[in-house]
Amino acid sequence: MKGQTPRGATQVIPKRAIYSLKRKKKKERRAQEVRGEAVTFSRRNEIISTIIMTIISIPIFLSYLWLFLSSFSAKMWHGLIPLKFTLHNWRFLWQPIKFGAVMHTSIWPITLNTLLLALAVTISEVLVSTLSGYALSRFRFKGRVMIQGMTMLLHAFPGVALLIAIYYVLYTMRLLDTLWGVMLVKISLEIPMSTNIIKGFFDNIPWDIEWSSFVDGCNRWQTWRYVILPLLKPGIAAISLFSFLSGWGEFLYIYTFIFTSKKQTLATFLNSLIGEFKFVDYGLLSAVATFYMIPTLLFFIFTQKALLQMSFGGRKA
Amino acid sequence: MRVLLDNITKIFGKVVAVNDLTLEVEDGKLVVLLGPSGCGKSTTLLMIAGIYRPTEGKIWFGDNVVNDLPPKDRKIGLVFQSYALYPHMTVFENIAFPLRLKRENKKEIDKKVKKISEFLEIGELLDRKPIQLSGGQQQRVAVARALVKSPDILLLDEPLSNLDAKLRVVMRTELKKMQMRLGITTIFVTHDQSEAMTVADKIAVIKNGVLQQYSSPDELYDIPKNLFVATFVGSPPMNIIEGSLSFKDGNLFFLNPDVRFELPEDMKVVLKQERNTEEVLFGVRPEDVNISYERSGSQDSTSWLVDMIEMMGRELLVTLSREKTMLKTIVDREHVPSIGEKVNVEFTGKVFLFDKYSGKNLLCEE
Ligand SMILES: Nc1ncnc2c1ncn2[C@@H]1O[C@H](COP(=O)(O)OP(=O)(O)O)[C@@H](O)[C@H]1O
Ligand SMILES: [Mg+2]
Repeated sequence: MKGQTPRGATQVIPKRAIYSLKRKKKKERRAQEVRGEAVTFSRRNEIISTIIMTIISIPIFLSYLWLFLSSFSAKMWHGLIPLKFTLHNWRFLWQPIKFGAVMHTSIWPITLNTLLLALAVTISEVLVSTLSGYALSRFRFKGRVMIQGMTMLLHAFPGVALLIAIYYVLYTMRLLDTLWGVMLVKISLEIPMSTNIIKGFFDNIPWDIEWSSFVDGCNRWQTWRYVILPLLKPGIAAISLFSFLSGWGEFLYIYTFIFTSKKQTLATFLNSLIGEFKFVDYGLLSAVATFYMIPTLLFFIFTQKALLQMSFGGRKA
Repeated sequence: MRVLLDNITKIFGKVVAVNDLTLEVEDGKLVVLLGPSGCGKSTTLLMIAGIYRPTEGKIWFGDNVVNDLPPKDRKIGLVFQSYALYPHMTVFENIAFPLRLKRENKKEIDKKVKKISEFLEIGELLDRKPIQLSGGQQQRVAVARALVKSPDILLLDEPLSNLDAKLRVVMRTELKKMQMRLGITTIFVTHDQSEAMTVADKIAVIKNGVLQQYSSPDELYDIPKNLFVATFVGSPPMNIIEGSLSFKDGNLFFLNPDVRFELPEDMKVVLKQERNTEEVLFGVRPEDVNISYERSGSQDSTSWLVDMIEMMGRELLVTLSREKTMLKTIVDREHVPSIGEKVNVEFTGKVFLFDKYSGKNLLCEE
């Protein structure tokens, strides 16, 4: 018979076949990585990346360490090495600070203001943007694309550019020099951003999963509670962390729209400690700064786990 | 439970996804919705599930119209191509979820989950998360979740498409066995005709949202109603040759510039004399084309040239040509022709004729 490979001829695997085999392995591995399965990093790579990350974070870590240590020491040797443990710098916790001629108010009402602002911003943002993010992700309505574009545009404006306009708005609404006013400004300026973030998380939840839950017997509320919300946890953690930090750290609007010192927040309080006198009590300053950081750290620790667990699975070949 | 789709239409904006579909699924039978991707199979299934509402028409379950019934009250189980397992729940929680929503007590839930997972051989996987399962295991979990509440109707949307080829063949027989054992009315969506042929009691072929033919696998293969069904069902697909009909000396011929086939006697009865010069398509399945080898040197006018030989495992797919006309045939490996060789051709099975414009099978009445 013609046109056939003769029987008995040795089979030689062509080079290209070997090459494509290797490539297939590589592909498989990449697929594994995409699926989020553990791919064992080579030991050397692991060590190298650890070293690099350590080196990068050392200066940041050291400066926080310095801040922390100096808040507990009476004196710093050459401004670097702490000497003699003291709680004197932390006296603002139990007594109003007198500082030259000015008597500062106790720190607790100010802390409460800061906390109120941060929590109000967080709660309203999470509530509003999960709902609006759901709508933007799931419903097809007129103007959807335009709204999305505008939210991006709004976010592109720096807050400073709006100061005068906002001042005027707050003035006409009689909300100047109130915490309420600042809350509203913060919330309205940040909802677009967090809506966009959370919309991305909704986009990642397949319709199939939502539909399956309907067939399994959920009503809309149960679908939301048992299926969507758990899958959305990382997203909610992300926007609550961002909005808490931005509320807690807000300076500009407080500085501009609040005139009564009792209504100020920690950020402006800290600023007034630096600003009022020619000399600065570094010990006190670092103690207040450390105090100021505590909630941020706590909040981060609580949301971290949710932030890191992000996976949508259930499909692989 | 009997399912009846009564003149169902679904329109998305300007797209008519399903167009006036009428279909009856008998109780306990497995019906396949077969068609190319985008033809409206999933849309049909989702309407039966109650996730989409038909733009027009009625859906009957037994003696009730269910158009206004929400999915959770329809007593259906649904398996998606993606399996749609809940990633944050373990396998056990996934399977138990429908029962928990029905507020069954814990003991009962445990018992039912155990039973169904043993039935589907996933008993050891109950503590895992979906991401830790292979595709085949995920598929079983999805089936278990769909079956655990003993639904009246099982809906499967391309349940095997995400499995590798080998597993797909195994799983389709298992799904069929399972369906027969449970006797559950099942609607199975696929774009794979060989899958459809192996599992179905009846197949509904759909194209562009329109039902083309609804019949048993045998009938679909033997009496396709139109060109689309004829070429979609069967692999490799049917040979189609353009040409015209002509009666000569009391015999019926199909001819074009390259070929001339004498058609069987019984076709003459069906096709009237007046179809004389009509433009038609001639069809014959590759497995019904037989080749025989010429004695060397003969210059027979009916001979075909061997153009290409493709290996298909046990058999070979051979492409023959005669000028511009091509013909594919399946040859077993004992009789391998060689490229460039000339062979004679003979049709051993059924041949078909279709209208060139409407695609209708000319031999089907109606
Ligand atoms: N939610 C939807 N919105 C708009 N068009 C849709 C929607 N779902 C399906 N379609 C359209 O309807 C047609 C049929 O889709 P589908 O039922 O998914 O096909 P199949 O499952 O057969 O591949 C396609 O043209 C698709 O683009
Ligand atoms: Mg589909």
